[in-house]
Amino acid sequence: MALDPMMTDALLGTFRNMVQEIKEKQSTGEDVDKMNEYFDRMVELTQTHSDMSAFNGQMMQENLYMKFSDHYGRVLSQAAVAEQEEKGYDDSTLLKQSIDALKMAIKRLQDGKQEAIALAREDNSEEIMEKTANIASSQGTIKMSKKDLARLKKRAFKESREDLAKTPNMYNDDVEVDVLNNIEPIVEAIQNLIDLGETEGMTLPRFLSTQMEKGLDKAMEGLILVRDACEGDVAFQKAYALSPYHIQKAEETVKVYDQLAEQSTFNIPESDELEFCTEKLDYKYEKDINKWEEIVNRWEEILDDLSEWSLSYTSVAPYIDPWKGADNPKKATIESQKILPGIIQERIRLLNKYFGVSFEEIFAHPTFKWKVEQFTISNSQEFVEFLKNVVYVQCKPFADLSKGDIDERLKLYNEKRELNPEHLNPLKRYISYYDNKFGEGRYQSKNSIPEQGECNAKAWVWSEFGG
Amino acid sequence: MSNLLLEEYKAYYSLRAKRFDGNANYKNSFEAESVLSEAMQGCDVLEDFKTRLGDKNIKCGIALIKDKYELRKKHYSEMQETVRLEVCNDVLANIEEAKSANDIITSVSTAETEGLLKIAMDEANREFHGEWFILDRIEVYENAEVPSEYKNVLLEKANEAKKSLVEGNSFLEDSNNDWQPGWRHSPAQILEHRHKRLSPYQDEHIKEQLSKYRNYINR
Repeated sequence: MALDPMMTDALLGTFRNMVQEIKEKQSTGEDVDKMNEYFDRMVELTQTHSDMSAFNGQMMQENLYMKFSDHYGRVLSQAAVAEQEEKGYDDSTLLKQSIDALKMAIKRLQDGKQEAIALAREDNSEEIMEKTANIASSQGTIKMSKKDLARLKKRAFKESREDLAKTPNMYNDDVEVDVLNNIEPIVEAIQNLIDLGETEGMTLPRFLSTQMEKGLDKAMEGLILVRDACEGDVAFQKAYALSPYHIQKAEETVKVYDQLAEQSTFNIPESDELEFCTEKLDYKYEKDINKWEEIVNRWEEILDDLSEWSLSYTSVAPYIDPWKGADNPKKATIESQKILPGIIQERIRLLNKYFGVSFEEIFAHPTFKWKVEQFTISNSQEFVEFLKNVVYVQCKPFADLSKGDIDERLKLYNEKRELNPEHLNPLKRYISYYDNKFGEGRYQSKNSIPEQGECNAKAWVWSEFGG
Repeated sequence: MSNLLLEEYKAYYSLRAKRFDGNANYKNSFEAESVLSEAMQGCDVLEDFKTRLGDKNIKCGIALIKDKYELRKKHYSEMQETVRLEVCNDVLANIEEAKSANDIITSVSTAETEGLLKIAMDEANREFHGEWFILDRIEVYENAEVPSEYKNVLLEKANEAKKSLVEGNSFLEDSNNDWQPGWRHSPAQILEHRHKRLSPYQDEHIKEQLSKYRNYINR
């Protein structure tokens, strides 16, 4: 079975256009033949492969993109050399060619952006849904009659349209693409070059010299946009607040950019230097970030297990997750009661073995304080205190939770006091960041906002927490 | 006009060389650009440059690539990124043979494309980092103190986790064979600095877990 043309057309479209361009120019020769030969091979591979990864792998092994581009480049440069030789040296023609190329560059940037925006507006969700359902049906992933399949699709489309009514920009990323592809500084830099080239009496060597002297060629590289992106990352990391390291790394990247810019002649860093320095920053922080995430994941899992173990004793347990789906929910709750203490004990042992953090030390650990301060801890203060001071001390292999504490655990569940009442604060912070970047109300026009839900616990007060 | 144009070209080529003057990182470029500039400075009329130019322009392109990749080599050497360093060496090994601007582009792009594959295949050996939590799970299930009637429940979970490691490895090798036929997972590579630097664990723990992992997946 051949690859889906929807995917391969997009992939080979650029190459097909290049083949057509050369054909229209009526160019001939060995490089044209080779170029066509490699294009035919690409098309052949789309027919002989049914798996995209295998197709891409084969393209890479045969280096087809590269070989095609090499011969295409040679065809173009041969044509340019031939044209120049035919005309002989003419400074004004060469200058005009340079300026035309710059004008074309602006047009390509602007067209490219408009195409990307148009693409971002396209909503093919129904087409994808239709295809997915058909494939699942034909491959037997979902087994149903044609009539039932039609009914399923109809319902899915209806739900999708209802969602779209609430969040009309759900599939529309045009504003995001527009904001994130800020080509204006580059267009301005290129326009400056064009203006210079079109100055009365300008010659090609003076044009080339002046752009070097004034750094206009460097401005055109677009590195100025990198600084905007780095600053944008600082705002994003502060909104996301995964760890202090994420924020520090983003802030240091801006600093590095500014330092390199300051050292340079035209206030724009050397691209290689900037790349090396940012890579060094990645290296500096990657391990710390991974360690931070590992520690958080481990203590979160331990607290979840303590919550699950204590809840498994309550009368509601067989009727709620994770037990209600079991063949025998009651039996499943007993299994949790018997197994989890041993598991929790082992998890705590590993946390201590790898990171030197005991159970008690979790609550004084910087990762814990950070999660509380950033509102990214999902449990309320009183619930964590209950798990730490009441549940944990009883959670030992072969032991059970006391009757009085089972009642207290049920009360916390029934009275909805387990959840951090400020659990939506990180989302609010992210929405504020998003709207600030992409426009007021943009986030909500794309995403439904989860309900706060009934949440009767008091807000965290770190100074009162007995960590 | 012709004389003025000649003088402007002389100034331009002189400026090109001057850009690299005194910059130790761009020694090759300075030399090649100086040779090119000298060829221009010796012209009495602009037309002379056509015969004096020869392949000096191409040599400037080659020199710039050499300088840039020497810089990269220094950077990756400091970072102990041996595979990326190898890619730089591949570029530098062939660049002198370039006879045209197209040759320069093709030579660099070919080495870089092949390099991307080398890097991807090397970094695929980092699978171990992502599987650490499964290794922990196996350890937890095998060591947890539970009433005897639940021992088998946990052993079954541990066996499922071991099976998932084997399946994960098969999937990894199958996928990578699409890109590089004959590729075989080599988890021991994780002990190399470029991979190990990402791990938040101490060396003794990495070695301990690696030994178990290699045993489970037979690699």
